Amino acid sequence: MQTIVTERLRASRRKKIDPLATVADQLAAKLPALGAQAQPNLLQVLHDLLDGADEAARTSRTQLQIHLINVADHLISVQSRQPSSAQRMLSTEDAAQLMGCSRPYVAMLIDAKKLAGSVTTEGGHRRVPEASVRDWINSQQLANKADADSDYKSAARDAGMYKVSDADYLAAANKIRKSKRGG
Amino acid sequence: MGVDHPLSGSGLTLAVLDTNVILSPRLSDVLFDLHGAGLYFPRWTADIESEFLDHWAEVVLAKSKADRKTMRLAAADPVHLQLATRRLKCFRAAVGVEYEVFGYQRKSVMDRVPEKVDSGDKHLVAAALVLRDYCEPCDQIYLISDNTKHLAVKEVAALGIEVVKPGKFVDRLFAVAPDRVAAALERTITDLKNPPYTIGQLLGALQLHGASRVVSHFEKVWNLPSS
Repeated sequence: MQTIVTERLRASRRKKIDPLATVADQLAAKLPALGAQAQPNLLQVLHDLLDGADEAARTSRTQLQIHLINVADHLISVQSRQPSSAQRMLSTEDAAQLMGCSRPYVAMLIDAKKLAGSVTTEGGHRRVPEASVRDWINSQQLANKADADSDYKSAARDAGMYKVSDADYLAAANKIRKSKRGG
Repeated sequence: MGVDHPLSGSGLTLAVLDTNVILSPRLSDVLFDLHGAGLYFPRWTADIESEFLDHWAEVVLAKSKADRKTMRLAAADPVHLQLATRRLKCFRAAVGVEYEVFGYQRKSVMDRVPEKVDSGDKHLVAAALVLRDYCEPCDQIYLISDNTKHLAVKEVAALGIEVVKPGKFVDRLFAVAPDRVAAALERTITDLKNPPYTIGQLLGALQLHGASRVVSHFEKVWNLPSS
């Protein structure tokens, strides 16, 4: 039985690229003292260890699988501890660069709670989540699309504002001021 | 492109514009054209915008005292509100997102506004204080208002904020950057064609707002009789 399985595996190795060959290559590279013939010898050893139908081979395969699962679990846990770009906290300088604003303006937004999730460290440094910065950029892009007109003179002309002389304007503004103050 | 604000040396010039300044049609054109010439950054607040919208129709459209009273008492006309909002939005777009000052209502800021400042104007000084807090010491902070007597000029100056009338601000810019101010004023005139705006009308408006040095200079340059 064991002979038949081993033969089938050997046949399949001849047809396909042997996945253990890469492992043998890397083992040989790590063990230069084994000499030039190390790779084929190690490949053979790996197959002998893993390909059989006997108890020892089954145990080797099981232990290897357990090890691979543990490695995968560890890697996933390490990756989950790395902040994603959305969770990353930016300095005011970095946020200002992304937002195309000055650093003091970003600091003012943070202090006015306009960028959600921002914090100030014990050392007094402001930090803002990159996700909040991206949200702000998106909202500004939408606002800019809606209100791109900067022709304040056309707006004044269309509203009839130039029919008022500045002298009349000042007189009206003074009267409003006095009425507001009860004067 | 770098910023070159000649009033502030290596720093920036930021100016909080009072409602009475941005409401004035001709004056606000000049101030925003001076910004367009890269001479300073205008700033204002949500409260200033709210006052602008509240008083726009009374100031700009009312033709008599009775009109004004009617407009003040009546609910805001949606058409008027739309026209005023359009002008505001154009100002915002011309200046960019940083036009708005936040956080001036905080107690820690309001508490620092000198007592002598009129209660109705404390929010203006508070906005300028916020700019002072966030800017570099080399930056110059102005508060531009037609109504300086309620703004405790001396006490506010001690906080690093200069309160000036709009005409004086234009004069100061002219003293340090005459060519750039001249280019901005030319734009104020040439942008308006229907109806046209004359040099005489512009200088008349500037005179009214106290820009006596600029007016006197351009009367000579443009061969106008002195006012």
